Amino acid sequence: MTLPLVPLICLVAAAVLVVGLAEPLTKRPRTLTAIALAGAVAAALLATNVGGTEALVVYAVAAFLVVTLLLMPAFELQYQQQRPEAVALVLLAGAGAIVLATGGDLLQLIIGMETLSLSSALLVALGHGEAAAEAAFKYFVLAAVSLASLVYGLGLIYLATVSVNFPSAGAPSLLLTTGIVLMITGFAFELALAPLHWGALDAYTAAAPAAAGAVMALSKLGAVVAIVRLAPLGGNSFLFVLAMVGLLTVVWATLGALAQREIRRLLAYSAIAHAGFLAMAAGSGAAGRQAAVFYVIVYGSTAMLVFAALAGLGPRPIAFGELPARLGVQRSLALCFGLMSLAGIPPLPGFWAKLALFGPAWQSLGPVPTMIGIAAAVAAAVYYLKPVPDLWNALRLPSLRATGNAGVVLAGVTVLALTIVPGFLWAMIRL
Amino acid sequence: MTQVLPWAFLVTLPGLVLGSTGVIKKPGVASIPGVLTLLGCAVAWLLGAGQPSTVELGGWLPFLPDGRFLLRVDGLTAFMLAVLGLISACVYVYSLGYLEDDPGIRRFFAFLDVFVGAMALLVTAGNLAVLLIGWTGVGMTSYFLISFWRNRPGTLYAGLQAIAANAVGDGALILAAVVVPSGCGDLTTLQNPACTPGVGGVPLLAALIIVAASAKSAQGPLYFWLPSAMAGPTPISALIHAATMVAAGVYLLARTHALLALSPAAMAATAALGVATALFGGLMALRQSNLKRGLAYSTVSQLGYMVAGIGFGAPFAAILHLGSQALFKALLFLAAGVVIHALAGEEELAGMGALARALPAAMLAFLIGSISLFGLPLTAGAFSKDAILDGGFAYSPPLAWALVAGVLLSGLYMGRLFFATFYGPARAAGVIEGDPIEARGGLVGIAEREALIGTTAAERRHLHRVPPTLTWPLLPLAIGSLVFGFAEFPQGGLGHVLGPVLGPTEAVGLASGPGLVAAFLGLLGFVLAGAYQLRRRGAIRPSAEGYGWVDWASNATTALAGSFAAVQNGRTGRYVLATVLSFAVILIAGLKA
Amino acid sequence: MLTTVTVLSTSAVLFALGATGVMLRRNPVAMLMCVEIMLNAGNLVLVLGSRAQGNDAGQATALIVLVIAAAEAVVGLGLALVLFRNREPVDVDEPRAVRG
Repeated sequence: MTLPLVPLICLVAAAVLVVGLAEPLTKRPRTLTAIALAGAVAAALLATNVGGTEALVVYAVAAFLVVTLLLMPAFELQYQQQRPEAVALVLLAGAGAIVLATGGDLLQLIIGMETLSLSSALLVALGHGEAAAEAAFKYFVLAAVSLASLVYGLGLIYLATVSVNFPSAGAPSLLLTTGIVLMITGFAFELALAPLHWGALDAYTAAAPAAAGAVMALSKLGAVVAIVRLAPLGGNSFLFVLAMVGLLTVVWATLGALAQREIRRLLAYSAIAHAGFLAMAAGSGAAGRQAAVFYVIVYGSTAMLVFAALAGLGPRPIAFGELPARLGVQRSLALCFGLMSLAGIPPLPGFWAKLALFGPAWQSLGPVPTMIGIAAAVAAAVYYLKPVPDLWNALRLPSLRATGNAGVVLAGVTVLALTIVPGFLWAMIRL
Repeated sequence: MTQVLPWAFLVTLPGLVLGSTGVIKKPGVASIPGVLTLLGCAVAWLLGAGQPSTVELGGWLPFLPDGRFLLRVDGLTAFMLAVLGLISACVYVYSLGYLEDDPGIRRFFAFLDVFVGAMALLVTAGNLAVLLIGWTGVGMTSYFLISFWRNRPGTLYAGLQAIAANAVGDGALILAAVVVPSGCGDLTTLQNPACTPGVGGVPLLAALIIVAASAKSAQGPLYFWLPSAMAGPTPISALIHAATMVAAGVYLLARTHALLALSPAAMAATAALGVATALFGGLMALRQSNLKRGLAYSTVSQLGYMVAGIGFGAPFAAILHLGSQALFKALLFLAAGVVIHALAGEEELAGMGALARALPAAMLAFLIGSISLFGLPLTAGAFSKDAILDGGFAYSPPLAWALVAGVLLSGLYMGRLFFATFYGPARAAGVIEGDPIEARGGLVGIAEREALIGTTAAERRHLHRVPPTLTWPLLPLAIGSLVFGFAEFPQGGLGHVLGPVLGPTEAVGLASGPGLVAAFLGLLGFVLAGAYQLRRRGAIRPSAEGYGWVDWASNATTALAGSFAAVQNGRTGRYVLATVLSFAVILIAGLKA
Repeated sequence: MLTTVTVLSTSAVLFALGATGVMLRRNPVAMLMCVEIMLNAGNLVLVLGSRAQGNDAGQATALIVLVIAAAEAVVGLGLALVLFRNREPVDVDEPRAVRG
C-alpha cells in the first residue's frame, strides 16, 4: 500500500489554514466548519485516483470527519476561543488515522499513530472540566509508553532486516519477531485492548461526545488496518496470542460494562469490548482479517451515530432515566438504533459484523474461544438494551418532526445503508 | 397467492407507517387491515389457492456459509401465518379497548406491527440467516412490550430476564449459522450429510437447535422469563407469550425435525425435556396466586407437551397442538384481561371471586378455554393432545403416562383458577399501602384514585365498564377452541397440507384409550379443584414474586461485574504499571509461541 | 570493541531502566523523562543497525524519531501543566475523578 498523498494534503492544508486563521475564525463558526468540511470532502473526492483499500480507508475517515465536523457547534469546550484548534485537531487526527492505516513502511505507521494519539489526547483535553484534563493526561502517558515500544520494535526490525519497510514473510529471527511483537503491542494500545486499555477507557468517558466518537472510530480504524497488515508476519502462533488477548478484552469489558449506570462510561466499556472482537477477528486467518476491516468500519459508523445523538449534553454524568427528556425524539431514535446495532441485533449492521467474525474464529481459534465470544456478544445485549425502553418513551408519536441535526442524519443514513447492503462494503475490502 | 405470501413480513408496514406518523387519527385502526390481510391470504393458501414457493436474493451476506436472502412458503409456513393472523387480529381489536386510555397506545401498536412483521419473517425464513433476523426481532419487540409500562416497578427487570434467556437462544442459533459448512444454511437441508459441521457433527447442530428452541419456548431451566413476562399488558401476554412467539421454538423444532431424527440422543433429550417441563409447569401453576402467572406456567406446561411431541417423532401432533394452544390460551388470556380490566388492574386471585354474573362473556370464554386445555372430548385440545399421546405411546409408554398424569394437573390448576376467579365470595385484595390500585397507573383515573384512598378493600370493589371491543374478539377464539380439531377431518385436511413438510402425519382419531383416560382425569381434576375452591374459607394469599435462583444469579453477576469495574481505580501510576507489565507478558507469550 | 551485542544489551538495559522508572516514579515530569530514556534506547538500536549494516536509513530514522519525541514532550508537558497547575502534591496517582 502507498500513502494517498493528495487526500492527506487536503486534510493537513485545511488544518493549517484553520489554525493560521484562528483569530478571525473564532468569531465565525460557520466559516470555520465550512473550511474544515471542504477539506474533508475534497479528501474523499480526490481519493478516487488511489487504489482499493486506500480509497476505502479515506472514504471511511472522511465520513467520520464530516459527521464530527457537523457536530462541532455542539462541541463542549472549556474555552470557546479554542474552537479552531479543536477543528484542526479533528482534521489532523483523521490524517493520522489515514497514515497509520495506509503507511508504506513502518516509520510512516509510527508517524501516523503518533499524530493520531496526540491529536486525540488534545481533543479530550480541550473538553470541559477537570475530568477531561485528567483523562487526557492518562491517555497521553500510556501513548508515550507505547511509542517507546514501537520505536524499539522498529529498531529491532531494522537491525534484523536492514530496512524500515514491512518485513517480508519468511523464516523470522528472534530479533525480527521481538520487533514485530513490540510494534503490534504498541498498535494494540491504540486499539484499546486489555490490559492496555486503561487510558483509553477514561479518555472515551471524559471526552465530549462529539469528540469521543471521532477519537474512538479513527483510532480503531487506523489500528486495525495496521495490525491486520503487520500481524501475519509474526507467525500463526502469535496470531493466536493476539486473538486470546482479544478474547480476554471481550470478557473483561463485557463484565465491566454490566456494572455501569451512566451512558458514556457504558459506551467506553463497549468500545473496549468491540476492540476485543476486532483483535479476535484479526487473529483468525485471512477471512478473519477481512472481517476485521468490515467490522471496524461498521463499528465506526455506529459509534458516530451514538455519539452524534449524545452530542451537546454537557460534561455531567447522565443516568439512563434522564436521557429521553434531554434528547428529544430524533436523537432518542438515533441512540436507540445505535445501541441496538452495538448490541448486535439484526438486521442492523453490528450483527452482520459479528457474524462475519465468528465464522473465521470457529475455523482458526477453535470451538471454545468462539463460544465464549458468542456468549459475551449476546450477554452484552443486557447492558446495551437497558436504556432503550426509556428512550422509546421519548417518542410522543405522531411527532416525528426532525429536530434538525445534520450529523445525526448523516450517521443514520450510513448505518441504514450498511443494514441493507452489507455486501457492498465487504466487496470493497481487498487486502 | 403463491407469489404474495412469501412477502408476508411486510404486511404490517403500511399500518406501522400510517399509524406512527399520525395520518390515521385514531390509534391502532390503521394496523388492523394488515393483520386481516395476513389471515385472509394464509387461509386462502391453506384452502388450496397457493403452491409452495421460494424467493431468493443471492449475495446478500457474503461472509456467511449461506448468505442468501431466502424466503420459503410451504404448508407449515402457511399454517403458522394463519395462526399468527387470527390471533393478531383478535388481539389488535382487543387492544383498542384495553389501552384506550393509555397515552402510549400509538407506540404500543407500532411495536405490535413490528412484532407481527418479525414473526412472519421468522416463519417464512428459508435459511438460518433470515431466521435469525425474525428470531431476534420477536425477542426485541417482546422485550419492549414487556417493559411497556415503565412507570410500574419491576417491568424493566422482567424485560431483562426475557433478554437474558433469549440471549442464550440467540447465541446458539448464531453458532449454528456459522459452523455449518459452506453453502449450507437452508433449513430444509440441514439434515443432508454434506451439511454436517466438521467439529461436533449432527449432535452439535441438533443440540444448538434444541437450546435455541428451549430459550424461546421457555423449556427446562430457561423457563423463568415467561412468568415474569406477565408484567406486560395482557394483550401481549395473549399474543406473544401464549400463542405466537413462544411457539416459535416448537416451530423451529418441527422445521428441523429431519435433522433431529438423525440423532436418537437428541430425540430422547427433547422428549425428556418436554415431559419434564410439562409436569414442572403444571405443578408450579398450582401454586400461583396471580391469575396471569398461573396461565403463564400453564403455557410453559403446554409447550412442554409440544416439545415432547417432537421428541416422540410426531411433529404433526406437536404443530396441531400448537394451533390448539394458540386458540385456547389466547382465549384464556383475553378473558383474564376482561376480568383485570373490570377490576382496574387487579391480577391477584385474592381480589377476585363472584364475577360470573357480572362478566358472563368472560366466564364462558374462560370455561371454554379451560375445557379445551384439559381436553374434554371433541374440543380442539382433546384432539391434539390425543395425537401427542399416541405418538408418546409409540415411542416410550412411561413418558406418555407421565403426560397423562400431567393432564390431571392441568385440570386441577385450571379448575382452581376458574372457580377462584368467577365463583365463591367477592373479595378485594390488599390494604392502602402497596395497594394494587396505587401502584399501578393508567387504568384508573386520577379523580377515581383520590376517591378510593382511605376506603376499605371490600368497599373499593366496583367494576369498570368493559368496552365491546374486549368481548367480541373472544368469539372467534372460543369457536376455534371448540372446532379446530375437526380441521383434520375433511379429507385429512390439515394433515394433507402439512404432510409434505412434516412427514407422514399420524391419523388423528376421535378418541383412543389413553386419550379417554386423560380426558377423564382432566375433567376430574377440574371438578375436584372447583369443589375444593368453593369450600375454602380464606382467600388465596398473594405469594411473593420472583424466584430465588434468578435473583441470586443476577446479583452474583452484578457483583462480579462490579469487581471488574473497580479495577479501573483512576490511579495513573497503577495504569502505567499494569501497561508495562502487560507489554512484558505479551512479549514473552508472543516469543514463546 | 563496540560489538553489536554490547550495544544491543546497553539499549535493552536503558529500555528496562526507563520502563522501571516510568512504573515507579510519581512525578509527571519524571515519568516523561523516563519515557524519553526508553525512546532513546530505541534510537540507539536504530543507529546500531545503521552501523552494523552500513545503511544510512537508520540514522535518518533516528533523527525523525527525535522530532517525534520532541513533539510528544511538548504535548505531554502541556497536559501535565494543565492538570497539575493547582495541585499539591504533584503526584500522578492523585487525580482520580474518572474511575469505576
